[in-house]
Amino acid sequence: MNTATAVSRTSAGTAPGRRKRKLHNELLAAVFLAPYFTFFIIFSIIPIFFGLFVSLHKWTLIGKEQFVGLENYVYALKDADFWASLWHTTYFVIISTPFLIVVPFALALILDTKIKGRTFLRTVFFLPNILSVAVISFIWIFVLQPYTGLLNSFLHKVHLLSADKEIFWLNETGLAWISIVIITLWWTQGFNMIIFLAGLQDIPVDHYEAATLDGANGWQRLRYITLPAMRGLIVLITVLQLIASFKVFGQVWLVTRGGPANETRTMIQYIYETGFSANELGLATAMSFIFFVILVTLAFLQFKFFGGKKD
Amino acid sequence: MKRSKVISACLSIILMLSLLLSACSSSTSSNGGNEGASGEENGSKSNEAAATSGDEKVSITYWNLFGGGDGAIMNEMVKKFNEEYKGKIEVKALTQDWGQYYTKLQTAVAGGTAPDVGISHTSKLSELVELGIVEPLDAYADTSGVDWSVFNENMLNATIFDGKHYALPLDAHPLILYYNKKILKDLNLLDENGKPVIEPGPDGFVNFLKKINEGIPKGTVGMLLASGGEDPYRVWWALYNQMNGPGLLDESGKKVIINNEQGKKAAEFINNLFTSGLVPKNLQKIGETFQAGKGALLPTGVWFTGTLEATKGLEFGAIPFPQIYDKPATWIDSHTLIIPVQKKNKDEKKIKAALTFAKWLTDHGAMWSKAGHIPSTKTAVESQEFKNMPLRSDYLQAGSDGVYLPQSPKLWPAKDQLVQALDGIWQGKSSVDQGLDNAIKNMEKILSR
Repeated sequence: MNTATAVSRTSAGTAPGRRKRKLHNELLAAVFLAPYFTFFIIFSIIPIFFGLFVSLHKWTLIGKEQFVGLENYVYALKDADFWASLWHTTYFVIISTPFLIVVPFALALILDTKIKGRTFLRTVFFLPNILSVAVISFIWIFVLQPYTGLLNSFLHKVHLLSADKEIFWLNETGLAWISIVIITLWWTQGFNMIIFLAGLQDIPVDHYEAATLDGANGWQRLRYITLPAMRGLIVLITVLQLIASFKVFGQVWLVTRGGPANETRTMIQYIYETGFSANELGLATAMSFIFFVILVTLAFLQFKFFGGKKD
Repeated sequence: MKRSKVISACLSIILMLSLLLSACSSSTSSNGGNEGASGEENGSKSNEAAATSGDEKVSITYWNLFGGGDGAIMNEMVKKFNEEYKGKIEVKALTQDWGQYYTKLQTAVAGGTAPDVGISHTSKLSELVELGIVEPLDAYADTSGVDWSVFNENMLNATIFDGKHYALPLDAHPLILYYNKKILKDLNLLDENGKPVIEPGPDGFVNFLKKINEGIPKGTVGMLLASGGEDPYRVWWALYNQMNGPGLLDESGKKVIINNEQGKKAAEFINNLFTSGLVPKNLQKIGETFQAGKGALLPTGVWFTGTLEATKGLEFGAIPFPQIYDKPATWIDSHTLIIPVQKKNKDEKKIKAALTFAKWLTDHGAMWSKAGHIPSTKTAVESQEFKNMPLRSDYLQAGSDGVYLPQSPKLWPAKDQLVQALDGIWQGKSSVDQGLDNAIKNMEKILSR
């Protein structure tokens, strides 16, 4: 009797009941999403549109001065320093991104095997990631500075560098870029590594077992199982990494100050200097928008050409 | 499906709005609460004041950017002022982070929440005056007992714009030369007064440096001059002015006029120090090295005196940056006291209180000079307290010989470009001519905006 009524009640109320539950779920979702969206709208969406407004004006820290139309954009596009700093950033992206994908991927592969102390090693490789940019910059200045730095002292000790010579890791443009890439790699690869590691652990073990039974060697397993399975993740990490690399600022600012002679000045540093040092917020905002468009285009192309094949 | 989407969208918007509104209301109420609390506090204190003096107490806010030793001394001064003016004026000091200070000051003025008194570098003052965020002081100076004639002329003149006073100079911090007494004494390079013996002229200085380099133990550096950043640029400015260089900018303020005989000669002199190996390239942590007794000479700003005095086992002296060319001159800048513009609730009582406080600080410059700075007033320089202090009198003259950078609203960003271009010379990336041309090009780009 009881069960019968229960069954009949549910069957009778199927359509409205489901709708009700659905509404309930959506309401619940809305409640949970609302705080995020509040902040998202107040601190992202509104400022973006406000920024567009600012970029059309001559604007200082004090506020609006006058409407100048597209003048800021024209000025930025004609500005040699804008292009130079954009190139510096692009150069950094080109030389750093491959390392920031391949190294964490390789580390993830190694740490996914059953080697001894892998938990410890995972922690070790991830640890720099939690440090702030100021901390890692000063650690590396300590390592790379001439005369008293760890690296040069070591090279002197093992006689790879004659005693009266110094390598200026932070003061010569080429070396400075290498240093910045090493610093960034050491600092940020851990995050990518953890994501890759999670991805690797999602690949079913039986795929590998089946392949091994069919006589596939390690390389073939990597080439025909791991890489295809990880494809989506690799594209995602590449896009995220590209965007992150394009935003490079803190470590360069703290380690080289954009020097020598502005040759490591990045896009963000130039925008920052224009806005807060030269007090040209309108122009700086216009530069940011140009930069923003470049990044969006890049991300779009990336997904279109490399993320096309869905599994 | 569609309808439910619309419903959920509406719901989320309503939710957001309600959150927003509640956030607003709670913030206003908490503000109100704060105001109430501080009002109460003020009330009870002013009651006390009324009981003691009968006058109404004025409470003012004071923003500064002093960290480290400077900060500690400034806080001590504020404390002393508050004790002396108990019941009349109360200064609430707030130290802002150096890097953010001017940004915060400007946005605070724009938002109508400016402090009643603040600090500005002399070199930053033109920008603040141009933006209209500092009050001209002449209208209030007399009634607050400010006497302009007690100020050092060199320091005061740099703070006058179009004949109007915009600031009270608090100090001057020129580039000077610190030297390690023990090292120079061992090399017989000190005279009977303990001052270094430097022969005149550029060759004289180079010989002096050579003698040091030949005599010092291995691992010690003759002259701690970094080959990048502010210090070599300051030395360049000193030498440029010692040769009567015509200045940084022409009269329009848009043209940079440093690519001349004097500018080149000064740059060549410094560059030769690096290329000849007299000063090792890319020295790092020069201050720490000098503190550790591993350097004989250190050209830098007077602000280092306090720190060096606190360094145990370091025997050092200080002189104005030596005259290498035609006349004594050096790089200089000052901290000044300014009254930011109040967009809302401008209160003359507060302005007068702020000026009273500012004047008190400049009068007590001897206290401030504990940090190493040179006082800006005769009152302070002639005080026994200042005369009793070691070293300061040795480099006092630099405060009058120093040459300020010109008044220009874009001075700081332009100066940054000058530093970068000069760095290009020291790093061997450009010749002296190219480097100065780069400086002119990049500075004029900023100045012309």
